[in-house]
Amino acid sequence: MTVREELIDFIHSCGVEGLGDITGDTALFSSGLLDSLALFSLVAWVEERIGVPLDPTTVDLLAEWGTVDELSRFVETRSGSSR
Amino acid sequence: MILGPRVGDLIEPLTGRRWGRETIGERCARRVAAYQANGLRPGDRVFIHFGNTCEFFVELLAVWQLGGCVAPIDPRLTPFEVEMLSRWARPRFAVWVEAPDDAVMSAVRGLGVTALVASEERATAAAASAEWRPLSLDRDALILFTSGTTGSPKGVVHTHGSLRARWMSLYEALGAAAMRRTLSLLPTHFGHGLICNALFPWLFEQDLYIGPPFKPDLLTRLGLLIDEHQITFLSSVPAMWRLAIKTSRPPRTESLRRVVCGSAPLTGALWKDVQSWAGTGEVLNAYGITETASWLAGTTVDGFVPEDGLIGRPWGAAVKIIGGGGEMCRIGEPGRIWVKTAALMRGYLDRDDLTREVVSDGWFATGDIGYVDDRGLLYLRGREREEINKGGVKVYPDDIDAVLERFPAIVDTCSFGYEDPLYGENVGIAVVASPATAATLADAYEWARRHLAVHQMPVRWYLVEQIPRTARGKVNRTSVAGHCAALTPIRIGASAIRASQ
Repeated sequence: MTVREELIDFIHSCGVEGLGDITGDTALFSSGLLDSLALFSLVAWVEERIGVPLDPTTVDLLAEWGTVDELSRFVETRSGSSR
Repeated sequence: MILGPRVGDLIEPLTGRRWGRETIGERCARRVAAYQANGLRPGDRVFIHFGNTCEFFVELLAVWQLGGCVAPIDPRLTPFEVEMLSRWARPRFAVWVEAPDDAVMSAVRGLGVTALVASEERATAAAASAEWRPLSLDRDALILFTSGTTGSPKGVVHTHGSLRARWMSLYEALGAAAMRRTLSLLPTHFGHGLICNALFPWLFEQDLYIGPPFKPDLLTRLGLLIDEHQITFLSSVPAMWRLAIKTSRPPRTESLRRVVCGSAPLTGALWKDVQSWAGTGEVLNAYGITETASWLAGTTVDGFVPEDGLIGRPWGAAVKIIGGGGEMCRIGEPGRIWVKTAALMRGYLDRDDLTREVVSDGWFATGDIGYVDDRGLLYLRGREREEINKGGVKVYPDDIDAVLERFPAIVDTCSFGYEDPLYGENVGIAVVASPATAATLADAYEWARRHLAVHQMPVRWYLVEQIPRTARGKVNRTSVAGHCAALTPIRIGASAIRASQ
């Protein structure tokens, strides 16, 4: 399973609704897909994948987590660098 | 002076709109003229179905100027809930900023309510006098609905007198200087957000920056927002900080002078994290209830150290702690918290029976458990009330059960709170269904979505064989929650329904 597939699965498990199929281009923030609880859970999911706590002083979530694909790349890059 | 036209500016950082005093005065005069043209009389109730915008505050002032009473309505309520509240409170007017669904509009009109759409009102209405008329302190000013949106609503009624008492006590305890540029990201249908975070500074001529409540993308840029607008003060709830600290870089310009946190328990650990993020030690924990016009005590204590349960000193209130036998508790001994304050509500709307249950000799039974230490500082230890505190917003299990029990295939239900890492508590529900199938639950879920506001929707659903009750038919929600904690919740949201199709 790719990171993107895992991510989409995870977003579905958060119970977010009303937007139909989630694809790589799905916008995470501007679409209203993420409510506060889903975002909080997503941060925990990302931290688990990258193995370190997220540092908000070095990450602009709105810019770097704009879409499912962008967040997947974020996780892939950080996972690689933390190994 | 408060309650006059000398208010601060209104600013919406996300849209860039800024209304100065002159604009506010002009717009308020136009809304006054529109209400006069529609026949608003002193004492009339007005449901305002929008919030967290410049227009909301102007609407409030306009209704007050004509002697009307405002009920800010949660815009997330379903048409069913709006109809329930309208039937109960019998507003003379309901106002939206844009036209609502036809179903909502026809439901309220069917009840004889005059429905207004603010954006469609003629701007050419004869200009009203911009001169502010003194308000009668005895007159009802505000109704805040705290529960019963699906059954028998509980509307907390405040007069201009009780609100003014709250603002004066806050001014005495906190002053206004630190609130020069106040950010409000709490809902304006919420006592804490409206009375304390927004109206208190604004009516003391401080500028009010308003944003949509609890919006994730806004919270991820909270530090930037504070820096850009040199925000000096904001109030908040613990859930907001859990998310902001995780996702937003801290402010860099040291503009923040004070932060208040309230409406839900603030742990000592999170408290210290907020101090560190905000760059100020002036992070005060505040305690209040809608019935007391919100904040009645807080941490105005020199050199305090954050700790679990610490609230601090009363703000315009007397506090007493009563034990199980009705006796006064000793210092440090926990008991029920009773308060006496001039900011106490007039009562629950048309529910004198409920008012009598909680008000005795001018003292109000908060339903919270706490103690006072040898320094006279108030500590909270728990609560007796059956409410779920979801990130500061109170959700009432009876409201949820009342909706689910109307669904034919549901035999019994028990909703309850469970621990949640972001909100502190979230909503779970145990359901006895017949037939006990996934399809029944999917239908019940859709039924609930049509009748419950989004924040009331149970997140975890459990299918159980029976819900234990006492001989008097009472359910022990804590025990049901404990039983469900050992079970796996049914995946029942829209994504699960799609997957099963």
